[in-house]
Amino acid sequence: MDENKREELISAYLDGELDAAEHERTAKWIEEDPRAQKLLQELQGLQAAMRTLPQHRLEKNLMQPVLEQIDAQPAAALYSMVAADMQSEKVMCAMVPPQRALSEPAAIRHTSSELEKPLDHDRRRLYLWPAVAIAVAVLLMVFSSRDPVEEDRSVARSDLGAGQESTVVEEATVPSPNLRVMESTLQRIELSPAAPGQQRSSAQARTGGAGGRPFAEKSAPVTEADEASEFNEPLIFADQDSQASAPETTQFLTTYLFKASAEIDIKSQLETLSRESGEVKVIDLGMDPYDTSSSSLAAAYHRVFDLYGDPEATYTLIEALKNVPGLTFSTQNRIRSEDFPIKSEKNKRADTKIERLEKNQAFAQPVPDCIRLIIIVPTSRSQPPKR
Amino acid sequence: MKETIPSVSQDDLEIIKATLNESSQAFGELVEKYQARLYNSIAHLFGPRDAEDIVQDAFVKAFQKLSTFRGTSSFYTWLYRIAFNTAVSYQRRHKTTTSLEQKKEKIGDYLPDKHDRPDECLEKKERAEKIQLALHLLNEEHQTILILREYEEMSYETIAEILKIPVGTIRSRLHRARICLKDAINQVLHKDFE
Repeated sequence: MDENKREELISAYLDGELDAAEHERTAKWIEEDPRAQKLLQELQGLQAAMRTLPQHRLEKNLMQPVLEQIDAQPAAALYSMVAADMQSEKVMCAMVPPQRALSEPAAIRHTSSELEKPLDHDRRRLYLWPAVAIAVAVLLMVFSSRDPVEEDRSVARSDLGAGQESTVVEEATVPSPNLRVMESTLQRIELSPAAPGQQRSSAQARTGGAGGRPFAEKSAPVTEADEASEFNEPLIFADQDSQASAPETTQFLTTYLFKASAEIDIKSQLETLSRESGEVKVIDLGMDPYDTSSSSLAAAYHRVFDLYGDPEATYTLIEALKNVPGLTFSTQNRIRSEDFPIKSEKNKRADTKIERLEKNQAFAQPVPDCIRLIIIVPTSRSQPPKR
Repeated sequence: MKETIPSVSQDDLEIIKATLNESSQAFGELVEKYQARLYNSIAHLFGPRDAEDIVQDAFVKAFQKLSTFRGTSSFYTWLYRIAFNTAVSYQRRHKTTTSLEQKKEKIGDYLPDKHDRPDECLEKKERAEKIQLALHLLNEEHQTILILREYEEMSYETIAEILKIPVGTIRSRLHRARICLKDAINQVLHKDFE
């Protein structure tokens, strides 16, 4: 063993972090070797000195500000954000009522030994089918007898670009979805900022708050998904294995739309952030010309990137992008495969070229669990970007 | 001897349960209980200027994620990891490079022992400041591990959990950090005599 490794043993000995055999061996070495004794004394001195470090005193009590901030959070932000793969049944995105999601923490539901046990198939089924049945029943109740007020509200929601209530529906995994529901919940990108209230409701429903964390909601049994969530694991967008292994099920893709200034080199910016993170991979999907003749935007093209890797790191990278000078975050969206072919006469206003591009891109070949960035980059009409 | 990651205390578990079942008000007890300790540690690592915001954010995030807390570590360890990640992304967002002024700012207040004579008090204060200065001569990796181990008195396993690195790496990194600190203290003391 080299000298450094031996010295590390003395450090660990001091910290009481050796196993019994190492402890005994090291104690014997210290007893016999004056250099080892000297090092131990020095390390003890350092340890004592570190414990006398000056203290930083918190000058105000944070309890009230924290509670105020919590109370000001939209309900959506309080939802539990987990996803699980349950055999071939894709546990997809549905919002969970906060009280339900928060009512039984894993720490309380299980003893520590239970936490380590994998769930067996039968137990999952036990929870799954009643929950699916309840979900279907609720959806039937809601959508089979809609009153005129509800009809109006549905149209209004469409105009707002899908509000919070409709998001609950759109993100649920429902067998044979009702076309009307699909129409009313068709997601779209809002390039023009809505009124503050409108924007908030739509954004909150999808993100858990304006500029909030992207999340994967779930439609099926909360308890199952909660059990599948890892302690301390960052919140995840969708289950990678299940997406890869069940292509016939609904695919979700989270997209972020940014507008860039002409000066910014978005690719190198992304590569730098990705290198810094070390846990996010960037795939450059190239660029497409963007016909802006019918919009108020200057000539532009899209650059499309997929980000995938550690969800926490991906989230951090997205947040960092929002603060990059010359890059303006426009909107976050979540698209599912069933929405793609649907065209609604009612929703023409939202059926922009951007939206079509997003949907075309979305199902080209998304990397499982990726986040797609669509960057609108202005360019000269006379010089279309090279692919 | 080796410690394991401490599991959540009964008191904290009760508060968490109350928070999840009843209201956000119960969560205030956890804020009250841990804010000073968390703030002190984060201020040492990232400077007091941002520490308050970071700690507040960390508590809000902890509340939002509370249902994912599985109780296999102490609540403080879990909270600390959230605060640490928050601080790291905060730093990245603001692209802060710590200036000398900020490093000086990172030095906290020496809290005198009431039994100390005034001259002892002054001597201890000076010594503590020198150690703090020496600590800030180290790279951030070494500062972090020293604060977590020596100041927070966390076990290697807990530190590994927070920093997301293997326990074996903790042992070697901590030892290197201690040796560097020893050199840095000598450097600071030597400078005083010049």
